[in-house]
Amino acid sequence: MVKVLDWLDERLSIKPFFEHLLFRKMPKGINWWWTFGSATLFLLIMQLTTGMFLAIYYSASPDHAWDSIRFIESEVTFGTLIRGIHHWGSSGMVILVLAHMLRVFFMGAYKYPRETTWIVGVVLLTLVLGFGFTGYLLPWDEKAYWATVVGTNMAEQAPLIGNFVLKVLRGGADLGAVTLTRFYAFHVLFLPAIALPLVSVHLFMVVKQGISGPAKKK
Amino acid sequence: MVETTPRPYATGSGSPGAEPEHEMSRRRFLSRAIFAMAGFIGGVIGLPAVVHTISPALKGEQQSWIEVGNISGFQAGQPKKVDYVIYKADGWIEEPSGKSCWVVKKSDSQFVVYDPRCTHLGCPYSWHTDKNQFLCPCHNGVFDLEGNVISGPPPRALRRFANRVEGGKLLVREEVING
Repeated sequence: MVKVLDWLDERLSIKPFFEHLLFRKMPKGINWWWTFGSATLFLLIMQLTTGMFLAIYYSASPDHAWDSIRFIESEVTFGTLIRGIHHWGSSGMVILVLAHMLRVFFMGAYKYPRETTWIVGVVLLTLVLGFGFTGYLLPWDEKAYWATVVGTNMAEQAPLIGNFVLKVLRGGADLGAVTLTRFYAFHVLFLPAIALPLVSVHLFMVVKQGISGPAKKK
Repeated sequence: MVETTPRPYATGSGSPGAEPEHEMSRRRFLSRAIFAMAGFIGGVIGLPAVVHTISPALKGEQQSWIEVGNISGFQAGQPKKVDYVIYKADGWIEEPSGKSCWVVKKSDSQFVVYDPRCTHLGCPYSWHTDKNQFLCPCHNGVFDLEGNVISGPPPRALRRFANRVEGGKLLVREEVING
C-alpha cells in the first residue's frame, strides 16, 4: 500500500495535497457542534451508495414501482436493510442539514470571509429538500401519491407562473406515469448532477479557508 | 516557467489585456470564436432539452365529446346523474377512467350539464327531489337547479360542462364553460 502510494506520489506529487486535506489545523475550542457538516457528508455518501443499489431493482413505472419496492422489501436479500438505510437516511439528511445550518448561523460562521460557503450551502439545503420531495413519490403508494398531489398543488399557488410550474412538475395537468418518470430522473440524475459539484465547491471552500472557531470572549 | 521571449502571437507589446479595445488580435479572435461555438452548441442542445422537459406544460389538453345518452332519456327539469367511461392518456398508458356528470334538460335542444364535484372541496353532491336542491353531504353545500349556491361554504356556482345535441344524442365535453 505504501509502495503504491509512493509510486503514485513520485509521479503526481499528491502527498502535500492529501496532507493539506486530511491534516488541517483546527481552531482551538471546537467540539461536537462542529461535526454536523461531516455527519451530513457521511449520510450523503450513504444515500448515494444505497440509492445506487436500490436502482438495481427499482422500476419507475406506475404499473411496477410499488411492486418493485415490495420485491426489494420481501424478496431481495438485505433489500430491507439497503432500503431502510436510504429511507431513514433521507430524514437524517434533512435533520442534519438543518442542524448544520443552525449551528453555522448562531455561531456566526457564515460571516466574512465565508459568505460564499454559506450561499452554496443554502442552495444545497434546497437541493436536499428536492431530493426528499422527489424521492417521496417513488414508492408510488397512496401516501406518496397524495403527498405529491398536495406538494405540487402548493407550487400552483405561486402567482402567475403557478399553473405552469405545476404542469412542469407533473408533466401535465394530472399526476401520473409521466410524473413518476420525471421525479425519478430528477431524483437520481438531475439533482445529483447539480448537488455533487456544489458539494465539492462547498468542501473546497471549507478546506481552503479553514473553519471558523468559537467566538472569543472579550 | 519564465518567458524570456515576446509571445509571437501577441500583436502589440506587453500582455494581450493591454491592447486597445478595437484591435482584434489572433488570441482575442480565437477566444471569441471558442465562446461563440460553445454558446451555439449549448443553445442547439440546451434549448431543445428544455422544451423537451417542459413540453407537457405547453400542450393544451383538448377534451373530446362523449356521448352520454339519448335526449329522450332525460326528463325536463329533472336532473339525472350520468356515468360514463373515458379513455384517458397518462403518458404512454391509456386507461379507462370512470366519470360522471349531472344533466338538466331544459328542452330537447337545450341542456345544462354540471361537473359532479362540489365547488367547495370537490365532494360528489346529489339531487334531492323532495327539496328541489343539489345537496353536498360533506359540508352542507346547497345549490339550486341552476347551480347557484343557496347556502353553505361553496364559493361559486356549480361548474358547467360544454354540451351539444346531435342526432338525438346528448354529447358532453369536460370543458368548464362558466369560468
